[in-house]
Amino acid sequence: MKPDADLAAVLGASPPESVSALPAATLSRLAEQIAAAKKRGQAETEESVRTAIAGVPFAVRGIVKKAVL
Amino acid sequence: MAVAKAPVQTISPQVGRIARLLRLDPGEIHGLDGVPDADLRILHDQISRTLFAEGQKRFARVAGLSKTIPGPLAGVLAEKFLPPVMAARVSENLDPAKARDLIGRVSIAYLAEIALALDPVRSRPVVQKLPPEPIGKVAQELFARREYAVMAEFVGTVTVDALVAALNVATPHDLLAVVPLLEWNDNLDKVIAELPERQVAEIATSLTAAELADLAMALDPSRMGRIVAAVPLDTAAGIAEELFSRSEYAGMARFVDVVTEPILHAALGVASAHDLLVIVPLLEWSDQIDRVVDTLPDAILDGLFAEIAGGGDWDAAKVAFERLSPTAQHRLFARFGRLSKPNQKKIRAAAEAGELGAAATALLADTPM
Repeated sequence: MKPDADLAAVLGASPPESVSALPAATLSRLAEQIAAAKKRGQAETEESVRTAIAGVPFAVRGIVKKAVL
Repeated sequence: MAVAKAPVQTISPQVGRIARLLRLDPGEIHGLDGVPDADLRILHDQISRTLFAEGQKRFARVAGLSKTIPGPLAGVLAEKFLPPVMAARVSENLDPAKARDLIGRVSIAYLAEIALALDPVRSRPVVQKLPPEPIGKVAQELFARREYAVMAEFVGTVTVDALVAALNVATPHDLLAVVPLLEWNDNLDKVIAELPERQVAEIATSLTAAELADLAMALDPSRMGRIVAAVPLDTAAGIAEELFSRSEYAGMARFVDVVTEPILHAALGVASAHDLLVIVPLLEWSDQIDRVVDTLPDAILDGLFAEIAGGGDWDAAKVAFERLSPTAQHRLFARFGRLSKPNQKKIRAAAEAGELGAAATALLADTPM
């Protein structure tokens, strides 16, 4: 797959032309950085949710759980 | 008291935003320096959608929770368990009235982190409903962190009152750093026009002449007028020297309508003959300029004549000469005899050939050989 296609796949859209025209190494690295940030963000969201649920007072834990899970 | 200087921007603000979104150091983003800002904004928004699209429903649900959980508890829970980048996404989904309540229940440091991660467009409906006081406090925190590029992006997002609150806490060096990054709108014009006298005086007296020169070139003269009026004469001369040394003739000429006669006198008083020859044709002429030019020291007139003869740019000399009042023209030619013989010869030849214009030719005809 071409590097700009990698980036487009990660973004779910074609990047601006001036970005697509960048060297392959730049595009690959950017695609990797975005994918890593996405993975990290998802893991942090899950962790935040678990921590938040465990931390909320029992009285409101049910509604918090219902909302975020 | 020593005042911290704003840092020189070495990384593009838009690359900085992308780095922040990816939670990387800007130095870790390579190769985007040549991409136009508009495209970097698009890329930023594409990355933002990629990172947060899947969580959008969950962010909306978390925002909805704020209606169920009592405000004080919601504030504590948010700050304790919600990372600022995610809190920013939740904030964009908050009911504006609820956001107004919550903003007072979390720390300024946490709000500042959220502000750094907010999308200026998506967050506009919420941000517009926030009271100006906490926005002023967040602005102070962001100025202290020198987050000028992010702040500049919110100019179109916040209300006039919030903009006043934010700019009122800016130091002169903060303004110097943020002004070149701003996209001007009516709100900003209004706020700059109504800056408190204290702040205007502080800008005019605490920035160096070189810094004020930077500010002058970044601001429209109509917006700089109050600051110019508050600048001490010595500083005005310093600003002019700085701008002449940078050959910012056109930029300087824009200010002729907003400067006072003493400031104009101070500015033209430090001009070299070459500077005068270049800037005079660019000035929108007025009686004020005539009065200032009429009182220029003889030494400057001598230098001007020598510059005209030495440079041989007769077109520029003609335009400059014809701008002068009859008084200044007569003063200039009364000093013709002080020129070196070769220079006298050059000017006489140019005048006889009609290259210096009719007035110069007539004056020279009355000047003894």
